[in-house]
Amino acid sequence: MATIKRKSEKTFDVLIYLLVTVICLICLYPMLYVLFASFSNGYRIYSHVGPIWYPLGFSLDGYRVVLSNPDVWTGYKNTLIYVVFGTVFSMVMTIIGAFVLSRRGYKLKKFFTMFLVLTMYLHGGMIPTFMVVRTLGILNTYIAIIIVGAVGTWNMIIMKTSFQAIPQGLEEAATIDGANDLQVLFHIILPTSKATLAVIVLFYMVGIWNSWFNSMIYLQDRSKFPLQLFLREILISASEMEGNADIQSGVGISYVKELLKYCTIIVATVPILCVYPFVQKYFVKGVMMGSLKE
Amino acid sequence: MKRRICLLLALVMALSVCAAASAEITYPLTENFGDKTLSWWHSLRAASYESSHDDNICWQAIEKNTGIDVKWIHPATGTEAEKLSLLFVSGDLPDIIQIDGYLETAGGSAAGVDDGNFVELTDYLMDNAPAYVAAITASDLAYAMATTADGRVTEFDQIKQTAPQYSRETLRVDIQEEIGWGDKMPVTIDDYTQLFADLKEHGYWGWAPTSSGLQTHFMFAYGIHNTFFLDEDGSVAFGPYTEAYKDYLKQMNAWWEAGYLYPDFTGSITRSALFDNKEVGLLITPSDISYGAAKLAGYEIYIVNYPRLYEGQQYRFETTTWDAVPADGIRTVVTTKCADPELAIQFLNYGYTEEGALIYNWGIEGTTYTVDADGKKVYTDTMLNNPTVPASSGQYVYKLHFGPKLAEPDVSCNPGTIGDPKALYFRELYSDDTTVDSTGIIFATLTVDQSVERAEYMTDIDTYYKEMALKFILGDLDIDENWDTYMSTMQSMGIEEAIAITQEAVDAFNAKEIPTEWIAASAK
Repeated sequence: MATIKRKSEKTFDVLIYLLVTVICLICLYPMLYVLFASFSNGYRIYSHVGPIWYPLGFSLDGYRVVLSNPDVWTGYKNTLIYVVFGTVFSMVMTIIGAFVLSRRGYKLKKFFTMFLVLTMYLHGGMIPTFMVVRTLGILNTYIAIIIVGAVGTWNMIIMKTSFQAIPQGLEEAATIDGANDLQVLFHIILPTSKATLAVIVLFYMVGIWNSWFNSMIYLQDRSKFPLQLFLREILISASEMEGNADIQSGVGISYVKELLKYCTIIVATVPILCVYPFVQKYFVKGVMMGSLKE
Repeated sequence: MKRRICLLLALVMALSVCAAASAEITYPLTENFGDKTLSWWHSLRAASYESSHDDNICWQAIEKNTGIDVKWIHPATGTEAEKLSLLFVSGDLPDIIQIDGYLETAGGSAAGVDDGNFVELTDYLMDNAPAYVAAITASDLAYAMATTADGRVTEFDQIKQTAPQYSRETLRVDIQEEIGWGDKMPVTIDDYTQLFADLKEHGYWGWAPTSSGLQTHFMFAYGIHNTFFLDEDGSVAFGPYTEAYKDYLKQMNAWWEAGYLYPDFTGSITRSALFDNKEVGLLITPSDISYGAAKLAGYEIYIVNYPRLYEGQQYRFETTTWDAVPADGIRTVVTTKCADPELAIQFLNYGYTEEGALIYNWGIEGTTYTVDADGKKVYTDTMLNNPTVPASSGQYVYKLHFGPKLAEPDVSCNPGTIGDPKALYFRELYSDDTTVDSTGIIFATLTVDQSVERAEYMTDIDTYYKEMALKFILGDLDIDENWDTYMSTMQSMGIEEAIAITQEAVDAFNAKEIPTEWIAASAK
């Protein structure tokens, strides 16, 4: 920047940078803590009180146990299945819904919008939804996890708004050239909404990657559990250690369990973290695009 | 009366030994039933080290010896209670459920029987589970605990002797030297006051009490429990609704005001870590655990006997028992969806037979334990020094620490306790103290109606007294000034009614007698 800044402006900038740095550190620290802890010595982590700034001792015991746990690999496989198929299915349904609702002059538009928005405020409840899934006969199947909650109303509304923001002239030009609705969708709307699509894909991916509740409710077979359910299992059994200690063995405590939780968090989060940098560039552009109605 | 019980006990024990030898159930069960499959909903206790009981060598042996192919259903750890509720909603019940502590409905398995979900076992037991009958008729206490108020059996309990007591006061040798106590042990509450004062002088906090401020070991010295208990006349009382409770609160308040208690004790802290880091001088924890931690960190510990008001005071709240009785919270039920309950019951009976209990308690001979020349069983390194599976998880993978079984006590077969002579020494320390008994403990369980009725009162009462306890201890409210209001509020919230309900349950419990035909059955 070549502009000359006044002194007060400079101090202001410095303050802003400081503030942002502090906020960044606050956000980053929990992740660093987990990272450091995962490489530490289990006993030292267990007996440590307060923050840590570097690994306490060094050991890979936690990672050895986590990576030799067959459940972690089963979980990875299943999570990939859920993320890939779930995201594709969710995107298809969301695009279809958003496209229909963004058509001008569609008579039932208001009714369907109301209907969809209603689901953001009112839920069927856990047990009734469970009964529906059970009656459909998809309990304990991959399909239950992919279908239930596939469409996020919020995502659909963002997408609808972004579709509406596309200048009408573009669509009309295509229609005059003889394009039907599907051709308009595939050749005009989707290519011009790439940024929004990328963002929504990310929302769905991260959502599915992190979800465990539906799997907990609808799955019974451990061979179908996603990674997050196994992660939760490891975290809970590690935090219960002290409570169970009175009936468990004393001398056998190796404190590996303490490490396990940190290592599992790292193993379960790093892959999805890697997706962010690739989609980041769409972020600002994408969310902004849908937010303003002209 | 007492002699009669003793005689009866001796008789029953003698008979039950015979029963184990001549049980009429022969395993494998395939001869009578053919090849059968049973489904069993069972939580994994060491999910990091086994992903299904199909891979567990002990369960494999049990399935092979009984001739039953078990189809395992393992809920994800930490979701057991939710999954169990969903099981009932969906109605797709497996044949056998390990309900343990996960069943949240009032009344437990008895309510499940009343609702038509579980099979009532009472009439099946004599013919199909002689070993279990022998186990629960071994003492009056075992029988009373294994049956409902009206004498029904609704579940298979793990039968275990839990004594000697594991939770103890622990001190560090290095700190005790430093503050000039040497090997002198605190005995009375006044000794503890002195100990805390000396600790404070040397820059240590005295102790971090349990976050509610109601530390049972110290309450016991005042002759009260932190919940319902039996007073010296044998009638039911509620700890935080007694005059002795006021003395306890005053003592805690005095310690707090003097700065002896760890200031964050109400928050989420790891007490053992505070002790390891020399922040506090006293830790109340299972003795073998504190010994294991100390060994790892490289310091020595003292284990101290219970605190008393005066030397030689009778301590009425030993929470462990030398009788083999139903252990709290390890419970197995057979569901009404089971096509062949007799088969399931005969199968579950296996854990109470000599052969079955051996697998549950010790694992597989040659792999997890060996028998030395004197006939003494010794764990192998697979159990004790396994580089990949710590013994605390190993006892679910290489033996079955919990389950429908006749459990050997920890001091005989818990790898953590017997793996190190010092740990065993600490666990058994003071176990011969004759001034300790369990006369203050309530073993009775409530009927479904009683527990629903009592819960109505107790929900509010629990919130109230816990809130008040901290206010009194932390000095937010003056104890003398507010005591009468506190007691009258407790009364108006219905504590007397709750006590009366508990009294009913205790009376019914005390009146129960082992039916004679059961004694005969276990003698068969």
